Amino acid sequence: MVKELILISCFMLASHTVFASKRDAVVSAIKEQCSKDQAAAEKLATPGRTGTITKFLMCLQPTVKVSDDCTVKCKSASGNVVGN
Amino acid sequence: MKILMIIFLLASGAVFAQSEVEQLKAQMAELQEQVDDLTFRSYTRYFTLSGSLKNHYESYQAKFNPGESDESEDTINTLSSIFALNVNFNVNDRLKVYTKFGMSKFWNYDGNNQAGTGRQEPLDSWDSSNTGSWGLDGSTPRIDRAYMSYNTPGSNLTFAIGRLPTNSGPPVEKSEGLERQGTYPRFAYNAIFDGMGVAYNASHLVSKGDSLNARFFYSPFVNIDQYDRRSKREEDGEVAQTLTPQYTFQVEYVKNEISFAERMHAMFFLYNYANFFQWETEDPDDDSDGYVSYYDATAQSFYLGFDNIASTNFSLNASYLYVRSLYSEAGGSARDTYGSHATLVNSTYNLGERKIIGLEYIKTDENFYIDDFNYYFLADFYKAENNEGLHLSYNQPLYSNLDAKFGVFSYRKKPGSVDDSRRDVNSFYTTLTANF
Repeated sequence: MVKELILISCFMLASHTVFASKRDAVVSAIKEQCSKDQAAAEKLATPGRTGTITKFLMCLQPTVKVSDDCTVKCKSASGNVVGN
Repeated sequence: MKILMIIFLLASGAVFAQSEVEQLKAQMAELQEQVDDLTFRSYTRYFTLSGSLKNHYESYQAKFNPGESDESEDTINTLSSIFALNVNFNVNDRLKVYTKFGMSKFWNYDGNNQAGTGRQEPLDSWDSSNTGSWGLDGSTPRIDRAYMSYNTPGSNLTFAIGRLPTNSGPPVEKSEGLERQGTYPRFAYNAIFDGMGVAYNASHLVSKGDSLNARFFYSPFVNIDQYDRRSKREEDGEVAQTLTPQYTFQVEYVKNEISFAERMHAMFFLYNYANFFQWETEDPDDDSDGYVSYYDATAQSFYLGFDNIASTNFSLNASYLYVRSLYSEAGGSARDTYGSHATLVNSTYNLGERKIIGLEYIKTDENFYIDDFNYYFLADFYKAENNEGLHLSYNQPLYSNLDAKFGVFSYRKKPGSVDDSRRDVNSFYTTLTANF
């Protein structure tokens, strides 16, 4: 039982780490491209299916509007261009 | 009595242990379910789904032999749907697999397999393959993309093999404000090719943030018997080479923040094929009535674009294509040589929020030829011989990922070396697109 719980905790921690790194990518883009500070950028990195994190990672369009005064460029791994 | 007490205590303990085991079992089952759910969610991180659905209305109005005694006109109105689903897999740190399933069709009409190409005769094996799902031939999906990409971390080389993303390249995406849709420039090759290639990223040779890439592809045409895979293709006594070679080479350079624009994109593209085997039908109703011809061709294409010039949201790019082809009929010794020149100028003005006005100008000469299979318009604006005209469009986002686009192709086509018709065309369209 204890072993199971440790395994699950490790798994959840790993999942959280993966999510955190994806979120960090958006936060970095907002900071770099819109000159926002860390706190403001984290506020604009919203989770969920229609949140800015998903939009940024999916990159269906080359820019993602994260607020009225901030639109960030994204790069998708769409496979449209070989080697990019 | 003592013995009875011991038996009672043991029995109670067993009952208690039994209930605890049941409880633990239930907890284990619940945890197992949660682990399965998390595992599933974890796996889904390794593939992505995306796609687009277009619904397109077009009114194609053509005036034939304008200004002459036999002038006539015709109007064709259609509604069509064009669907694409992308499923991409990040298999591991080196390997990625990209797939695209597509369909295009006129509403409540299946089976017009000439619609996408504009060819009058039945499609040959190669142009059916190059057309993929873009033939407006019905509701049966086809696979437009199925290739793997292998890249060693830290290496500048990427290898790709399979059904490649060679269609819908720049500047197709500009008028809708989308990201780049294809590898080859649209005004050089707009067709889906199967093949293998290598891309070399030489961005370390240019300034940080800029990019320099070179790509080489080998995409031969297989010629085998239509009904027997162990037999060569033979038409009218002529035996086709089993693998007809075709090569492309591409170099492109992107520089950001130049003195007068946000981004400069320059591209050189070359293709070459030789001994291409073509069955030419003379009677559209009888595919067996025809002759074999051979083609060799070399094409050079140049693309130069500037985005957001002088911070005005105005972008401009130009494509130039030169094709030199050698043509001969089987059994004939004479070989005709054709050279053709064509220019496409594309400009966009972004009013903000992807409200984009697009204007294109095209000029092609009488020998013009382009492998152009992947478009859903009725208008043959990009592929007609001896053609000059304009394409005006406006893209209006209606909601997040939902766009309406309005446009008109207006062009005059004069007699060319293959199609000797004279037409003045005005083709109006509206397209509703959901990107998901």
